[in-house]
Parts: sequence; C-alpha cells; structure tokens
Amino acid sequence: MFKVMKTQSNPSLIGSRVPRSDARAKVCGTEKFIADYSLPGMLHVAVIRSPVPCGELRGSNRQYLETLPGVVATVFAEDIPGENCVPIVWRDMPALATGKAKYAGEPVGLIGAETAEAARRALAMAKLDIHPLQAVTDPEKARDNDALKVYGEDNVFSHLVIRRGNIEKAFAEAAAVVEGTYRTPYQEHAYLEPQGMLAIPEGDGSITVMGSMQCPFYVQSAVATVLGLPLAKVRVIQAATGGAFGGKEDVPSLVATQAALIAWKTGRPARLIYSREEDIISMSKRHPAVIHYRSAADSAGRLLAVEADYILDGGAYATLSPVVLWRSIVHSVGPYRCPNVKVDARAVATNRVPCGAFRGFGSPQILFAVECQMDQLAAKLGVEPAEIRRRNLLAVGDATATGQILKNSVGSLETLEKALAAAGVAPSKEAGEGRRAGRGMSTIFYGMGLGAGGVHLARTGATVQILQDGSAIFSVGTTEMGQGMRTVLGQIVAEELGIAFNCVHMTPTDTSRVPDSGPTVASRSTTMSGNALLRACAPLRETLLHVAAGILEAESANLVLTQGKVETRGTNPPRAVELQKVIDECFRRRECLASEGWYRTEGTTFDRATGQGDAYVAYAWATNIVDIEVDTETGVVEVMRIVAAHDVGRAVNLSGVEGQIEGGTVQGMGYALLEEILCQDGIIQNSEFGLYHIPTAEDAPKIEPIVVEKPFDGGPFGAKGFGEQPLMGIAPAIANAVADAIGIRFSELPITPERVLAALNSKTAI
Amino acid sequence: MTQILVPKDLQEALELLAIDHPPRLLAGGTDLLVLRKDNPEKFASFLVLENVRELCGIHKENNRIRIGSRATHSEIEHSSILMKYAPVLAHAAAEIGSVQIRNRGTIGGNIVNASPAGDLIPALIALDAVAELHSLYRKREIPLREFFLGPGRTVCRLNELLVAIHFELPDAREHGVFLKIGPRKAVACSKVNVAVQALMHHRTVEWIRIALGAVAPTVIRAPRTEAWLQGKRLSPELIAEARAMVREEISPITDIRSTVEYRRHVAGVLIERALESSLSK
Amino acid sequence: MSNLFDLAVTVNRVRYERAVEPHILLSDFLRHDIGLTGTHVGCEHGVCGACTVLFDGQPVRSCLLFAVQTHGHEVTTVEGLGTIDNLHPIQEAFHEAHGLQCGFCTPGILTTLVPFLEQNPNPSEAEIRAAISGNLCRCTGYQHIVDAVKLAAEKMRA
Repeated sequence: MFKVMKTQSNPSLIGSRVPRSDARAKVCGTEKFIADYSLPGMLHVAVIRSPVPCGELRGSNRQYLETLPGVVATVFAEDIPGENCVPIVWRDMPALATGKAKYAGEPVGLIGAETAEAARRALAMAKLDIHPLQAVTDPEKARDNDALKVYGEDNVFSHLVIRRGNIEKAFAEAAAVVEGTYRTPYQEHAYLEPQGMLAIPEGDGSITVMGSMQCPFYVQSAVATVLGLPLAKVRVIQAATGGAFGGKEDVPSLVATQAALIAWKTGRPARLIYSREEDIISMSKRHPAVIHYRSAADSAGRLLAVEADYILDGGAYATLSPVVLWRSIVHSVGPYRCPNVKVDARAVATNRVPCGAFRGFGSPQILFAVECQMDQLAAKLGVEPAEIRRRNLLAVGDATATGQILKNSVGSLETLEKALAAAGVAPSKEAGEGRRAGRGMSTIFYGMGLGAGGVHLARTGATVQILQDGSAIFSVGTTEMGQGMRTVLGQIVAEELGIAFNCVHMTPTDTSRVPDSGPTVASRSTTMSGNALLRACAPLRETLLHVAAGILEAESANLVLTQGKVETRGTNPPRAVELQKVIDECFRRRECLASEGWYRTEGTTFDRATGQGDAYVAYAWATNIVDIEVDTETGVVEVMRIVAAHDVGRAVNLSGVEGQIEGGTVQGMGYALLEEILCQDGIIQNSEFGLYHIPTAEDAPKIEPIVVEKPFDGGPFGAKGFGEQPLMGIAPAIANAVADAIGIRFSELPITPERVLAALNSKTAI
Repeated sequence: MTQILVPKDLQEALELLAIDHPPRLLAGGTDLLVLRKDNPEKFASFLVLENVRELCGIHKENNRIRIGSRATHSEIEHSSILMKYAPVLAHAAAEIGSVQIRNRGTIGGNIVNASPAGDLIPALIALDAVAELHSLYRKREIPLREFFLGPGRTVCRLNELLVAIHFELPDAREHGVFLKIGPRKAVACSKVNVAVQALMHHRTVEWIRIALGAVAPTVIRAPRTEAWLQGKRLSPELIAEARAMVREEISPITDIRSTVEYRRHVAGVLIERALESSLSK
Repeated sequence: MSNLFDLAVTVNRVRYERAVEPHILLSDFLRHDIGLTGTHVGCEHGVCGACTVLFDGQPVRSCLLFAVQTHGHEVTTVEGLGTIDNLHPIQEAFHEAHGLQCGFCTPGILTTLVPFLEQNPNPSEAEIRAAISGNLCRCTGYQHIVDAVKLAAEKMRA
C-alpha cells in the first residue's frame, strides 16, 4: 500500500491543491466504470428503436427474435409490470413507446441475450411494423396553428415570463436600441464514457441497479415506477462515471429501465452499454434555441429595457425542459441592472430527440444573445465593450431581472477588472497576410443550486463515521462524475475532523446509504453536500473536543481541532493531545463517532405570473476575454487565448477550480466554433465521433484561469457552486471577437468556416 | 461467422485470393474495421496481411522510389528517403488522423479504400505514382491517376493485391507541397486537400502536377491549370489566375463535411498557397 | 461451428495463450478475455483514443484491431505501466498535476505518452499537444494534461 500519512502539518486543506482522491485509481486503470462490471449469468441488452421521427406502432417480429440463438427474452410496452413511464419533471415519457413513436431513436422494445454479440445480431434482425406519420421537425414551425400536435393544444410544454417595469416607455425614450435574432444549435455532451447500466435482481425480491449517472434517486424512482416496486426495494449505486455534463442527469433513468426490465423478466443480471451511435441519436442534448432580443440603453450607456421572445426545442417529451426554461429565463437579462423587462420563453415540442440538461442548463443560449447585444449597444453608443458592462453590472444592493436584491458575494466587477488587467492590450487587428485578429468579451452570472425552480429537491443528506484507526468514511447523495466533488468533500471532512486527507474515504453514492438528496446538477454538490457534511461533522467534533477536554483537563470551548491533534487555545505554551489518542478514548468510552447531516436551502421564491422573486440563494460571476484570429481566405477562426475570471466564493481545491474553468471553457469553444448536430427531417446524420467534432488538444487555446473569491456566507468555507459557468459565456465572447476582427456579427452558432467565408464573400451577417 | 486467414507470404496470399468470393484484404484495418462495425455480416472473411513481408518497406531503387503497400503512414511520415525526395508524401502522411491511426493505417489501405478525401492520394498522384497489382496469374501496373473509378471504387479486382506503389525519383530541384483543410486541427477528415509537385527554373514553371481531393468523386488532376502554368513565370497575378482556373476544373458537392461553395473557394486558396510556397523557394 | 484461433500474445510482459473467435477485437480481448478493463472503449470508431494501447511499443487503437493480429506480438496496456503503490512517472505526474477529471480517457493518454516521452525527453508545449491530439478529453480542456506531461518529462529526465 502507498504510505498513509496519519498526521499532516498543513494547517488548512481548504484552498489547497491536494491531488484528487480518485487520481491513483484512474491513472492505474483500476477505477471501475459500469462496462467493467460483469456478473455470472449476466445478460446483455439491446434496444429496438424507432427508425422514424413519428410513426404508428403496429407490431414487431418479437416471436421470431425470441427464437434466435442466444436470445433469452424480449420486452415491449405491454410487458411492463408497473407503469410505462419514466418520471422526470412530468410523467409524459414512456419507457417503451406504445401506440406512437415520437422521435427517431425512441426505444420501442428490448432484447436480452446471452452475449453482447447475440444481442446485436438479434437487433439487426428486429423489424418493427411502423406506419410513418407526418412529423414536426422544425421547432420554429411547431407553434404554427396548422402544425401537427406533438404535445397539448399548442406544442408548448411550458411558457414562462418576466414582467417588470414598462418597456414601451423605456424603448420610446432610449438613446440606443439594438435588435437581433439569434440561433443556437444542439450540443452533444460527448462524455467519453457512453451510457450504461447493470440491473441485478436480488433473491429477496428487490433489485439493485448500478451505472453511469448523476442522479441515483431519479434512477431509483424510474425503476420503481416501471417495475411497480416500492422505492424501498430498488437500490441504486453509482459506478465511476466517465463524464456527464448534464447528459447523465435525466436519461440514465431511461437507460436503467431498459436494463431493469430485462433483468426483472428473466431473473438474471442484465447489462446495457450504449454504442456511441445510439448514445448520440437517442440521448439528451442542449436545447436548440431561436431568440428574438431587443435591448435599449440611455445615452449614458445604462441598460433601460430588454424585450425577449424565444423558444427552446424540447423534443418529443418534456423531460427537463420546464426547468431548463426556468433557469434560462432567470438569466435572460445577464448580470445587469435593468428596470424594464418583458420576456416570453417557451419550450416547444417537436418530433426530435428530447433535450435536457447540459452545463449551463438553458442559460448559454440566452447569454449568447445577451452578450452579443451588449457589444452592439456599446458600439452604437460609442463606448468600449468593457465600459458598457462596467456601467451596468449588478452589485450588492442591486435588483436582478427577477427583482432579487443581491445581499452579498457579488464578484461581478472584480472578475471584469481582473480579467481586463490580465488580458492587457489587445493584439493588432492585422495578424499577417489574410489574417485578422480580434478580441471579444462576455460577463455572465450563474444562479447556483436548484433555486426556486427546483426548491422541492433543494435538500441533501450526508453521513460521516470516524473509525477506530483514526480514518473516516463519509457518504453523500450527490455524485462524482469527474468534476472533483469527491476530493472537495474529502477536504471538507478532513478539515473539519482534523484527519489527514488521504485517510478520509467517500463510499460510492448509494440510495441505501443516505436519504433522497435530489440530483447532482446545478453546480450544487460542493455547497449542498458540503453543508450537509459540515452538519454531520459538527457533533463528531463536539464529541472529540469533549473527550479531549477530559484528557487535557481543559474546557472544550478553549480547544481547537487541527490536523492530527487537539490543542488548547490561550495557554502558553499550548497543550496538545494527538487526535488518535482522543479517538482511542472515544472508543474506550463507547462514544458514538457516526453522525448524519441534513441540509436544505431556504428563502427562494418565484411568482410565475410576473417572473419576479428571489430566484437563487446566490450567484457566481465571471468575465471571459477571448483573442482570436480569422483566416479571411479559409474562414477558419482560431482561438489564441482565453482569460477567464470566475468568482467562486471560495476555491476549496484551487487545481480543481482551474480544471473546471479550463474544461468548461473548451466545451464553450466547441459550442461556438465546431460542434453541430446535423439533423435532417428529424433524423440525426452525424451520430459518430468522426463527424461530431469536439476540440482536440491542438484546437484548445491557452487558457488563463483567474480565481476571484467573494465568500458566500451560506456556502461551506464561503464556497459557491460554479462548475457550469465556465462554458456559459465563451460563445458570445468568441462571436464578439469575430465581430471585432472582421466587422461581421454572427448571430448563429457554430461559427463554422463555411459560414464565415459565406459572410465575408457577401459582406453580410449570417 | 468471421473467418480470418493469415498467409505467411505473398504467394500464399495470392493463392487465397484466387477464388470466387475472395476474402477482404486487411492491412492496418483503420478504415475496414470501422466499415465492418456498421455491417459485420458483409465482412465474413479477412485476409490478414500482417506477415506478408513482400509488402513492406520504402526503398530507393536506381531511378525510382518503391513503397510497399503495407508501409504505414508513420513510416512514410518519418522516412528519410521520402523526406529527402518526396516530402509532399511525407507531409501528407503526417496529416492523417491521429498517431494511433498513422501507426496502423497503410498506404495500400489509403489507396484501395478510394476515399475522394484520402490524404495520401493527391500526393501520390502529384508524384505520378504507379500501382503494382498482383494476382496469382498476372501482374499489372496502373498509373494512380487511372486507378480510381468513384468513391470506394477502383480498377483493382477482388483477387488482386496492391503490392507496391512506385514513382520516378524526383529531381532534387523539384518542389512538392501538400495542404489540407479539415474541420479541426487533428483527427480530421479533409474537407479539401491539394498536392502540388513542380519543377521550377528561376520562377518559371517547367512543369507542374496539381492534384486535389474531396472536390470530385475521385481525387483529380487539374490538367488545364497545369498546362496553362507550364512555361510561365510565377507572379502574384499568375497565381490569382491559377486559383480561379482550378476552381473551374473541380466539381465539389455539398455533403456532411462541407459545402460546394466552401470547397470550391478553399481549393483555390490552397492552390494559391501551394504556388506561393513554390515561389518562395 | 468453431474456427477458433490459437492466439499467443504477450500482454504487459505476460504471455497469454487463448483460443479466440477470430473476429474478437483487441479491446474486447483485453477487457473480457484477460480482464484488463483499464483499456476503455469510447467510440468504437478509432476516433476518441480511449482504447489506445501499445502494440510492439507503438500506440494504436485497440478497437480497430482484431486480437488475432497481435499473434506473436507484444501489447502494453495501462495496467502494464505501474501499480497503485508503484506508479510510473507519467502516472505520478498525472496524479500530482491534476491531469485528469473523469479519468475515462486517461489510460489511453498515458499509453500514448510512454513512447512519446521516451523519444522526446524535453518536449515543447506544441509537441505535447500534437502528441495527445489523438486522444479526446471532454473534461479538462487539456491544460492540466499538458502540465502533467511537462511534469512527467521532468520526472523521467531526473
């Protein structure tokens, strides 16, 4: 075993660069992802999917499939023992389509076979009797009166508004008005590990499900629903998860039902690992958006009014669209004071793959419009892009677009000034023959946690236990998916209990260990599970100090617990006792060194009629400055450098924070320039990594992360959630930089060389 | 059921090919195994060329260079012979896929796969390379510019094996350039690629060969532009005219990777850059 | 019907003799037949690089090779680099320099780097980026990976 350092002199782990607690296993290849689990008698599952975006299901050749070699069972909608429903926000999505298939790739039937190859061979032989129906594949047309109805009377899943002040008056009095229509595309998560689940029927009538996921409690609910079991009989354990970014929030519930249905029908373990192609065609994506946006400012460059009307393409089922839309609308004015706001946002239904969560959750789309508008207002008024932001940025005491008065932890201006200082002078526009350089910026914010839109889930549990040898284990209900939660929470526990970081161990997230803690989304793990852990640690600290007080013959109020020891405060010299001695004494006295913590956020509000309320408990803030060069002959935009300043409250792990900034920034760059799902008549054309282009190491620019710390009094050690924020403002900063370089404003993403060249040749914006 | 045949030498390989439904030839597998993923039943048997030594090596033979069909992209990229005599080919190889693909993928595979966007093909056509096809009963040599019939289609018959590619040893004064544009900087299939091989004398074009990929059903030459450039002195004006002329000679399409307009425009830009690079020599 | 192939291959310095189906991919052989699950499968199209292993010392995509093609050859996977209590310097560097997040792409990156750093003891940033450009990572934005490679080079020079 590697050396265990029982005592560590580092006075504070918080803010350090301690290596990730999962790094050793990950560099050795011993970390177990779901595809690495195999059980005796395990079946392999294949999913029969609709080939058409809309079609009436009339039958299948399942009897024939069941005669094929290696095939053990098939499952169709009529075989589902419980309710044919995958509950997410609403209960409109079936586990297996029945009657009508509503998107290409929708699951219709399942095959369970002895080997993965037998399952695949049977899948190749599967035939659906499906009568194609006319489909709604264009979100802009979904709202037309004569459009076919995918959902309800009007194809609108959800309609949210903000009504604030009087926009008519403000626009009439404005010194500058700019208006634009912005289009943003699908974005594929492209987590490196495809979706996968393993369902194990237990001998006692319960079922255990393991897999790649963000939200074990969602999976638990879906499996219980589909199998008709009480939640108590469904145990869900997260396996190591190879990237998620929101793409493993809701859809793993669907994947889990597929494995569970075969396992339940056959009484055998069943595993399902998606191929990349079926992952891309059938799993959630970032919502495409069409945004009409109008902004007005006075002659001093103060934002007077915003009017926005936009749609998000939700796809065939509501899934997370209602809450994605909610986060989107709360961010729809950006991080600015604006007294007059009228926003109408709708999530519409189409016969396309359901869209769901993706880093930013509806905000990258609207922030693209917001930040492109700000630059255009600045240009119209003749002020610098930085200056117009400086004049409008929210500060403590200001009201947001939802009327929330900000009380603390507002680092907006500081991120702006620090980013500007680091970026220095912009490079010359002439960047060599046929090359033009440009600089662009964006200032954004991020409402941390679930906010008023998800207040019923804004809770978390944790347990902590100190073991006899002085090590500690803890459990939480949120998940590690690469973002570094396990490390950050380990630091918090180690710091609180005075135990060395490498003697603190997090158990796999398991629904049987902690109460339903809601989802791992919304950049909430550090704050929510961190707070729950602080609460779980508090009684343990109390016990340790109480027992130490006995040993040191001191008042426990005068003792401090540091790394590896308890010492007196205010005596000279200080007297100390080793923590291990205190723990030994606790065990001798049979004290309880296990504890639970529970945390819920309070105080968020939202009025649906006006869109006003205290939407989130706090906000993270960021400024991005991007330098690009455009090859005016090939249209290729090259990102040279990105300065990204983020107010995170407090960085618990500095390297982890930088890693989130760098990773999110490059995803944002992909969204801006490279990534495009080509969807023709509702069918995805580029369902492989060779045709969906995410940035490589050579595409990724030099990133200069800047960490700003305006502590949030409701977060552990002042920390705020911010993991999504790095992606959110990159696309508009790049679009602004391109406009700066070549004088052409792109209002549609991605800004591909084909679009740039077409615009350069016609000298018009696209 | 998949069958894998592993011949020990060229003779055995040719014998195994001399049947009615011969197995598919498998060299690096970087294209073939991807194709097989989508349609495994179509690829029932493979002839693995791993041990056929006659297909290896990059050699300078008197007045020509001969490259065994199993030479990998990495071997071509790093070959001192090619770096010296035919850098256009070494540079093209360096632009393919990823290091992992280049370590397995072969020149023979790149040719017989016959993608209009295959990166080695324009370089080889610019070098006026010749393919050596062997079957059990005969050998034939086909100039590469006559080798391709359409996307994925060549004159190579199912019981023939591409053994080697050769081309005349380029004169030391010749100059070759390969340029491509893809969707990103690495692991990228070309939207357009071009290769130019030319002999210049005091900035005058003695002769030039221009090959372009992904702008027609097969990689093509630009004979009108070539003929027009011959004997002329390179100047910015001349290059601008060549750029326009090349755009007229190609017939690109819009597909999942790019648009007809973009390909037409960028083909001209790449030719311009290749000629400018010749000018600077 | 059986036409199993008698495969003999050396993996991580251990010789394996197995009768395998001829169409088994090297990635599946490593993961399922001999239990080396550190080699990950991310796209099955040779694009992502997660399945990279060393074939006679050179990085290749194990998803684009039949196992039988390695007959008589040597394969090295991430498990062949170091162990959890005795890390290879490259593994140490990735651990110390936060060169990973979800870790799914990590084994493929580490194996790619072994011959690269042996041949390039003091690589530039551009060389490092080119070397790992065939390994997609969606989490890190590559910067901490590049830092880790620099640290690894330093460790290997020492």
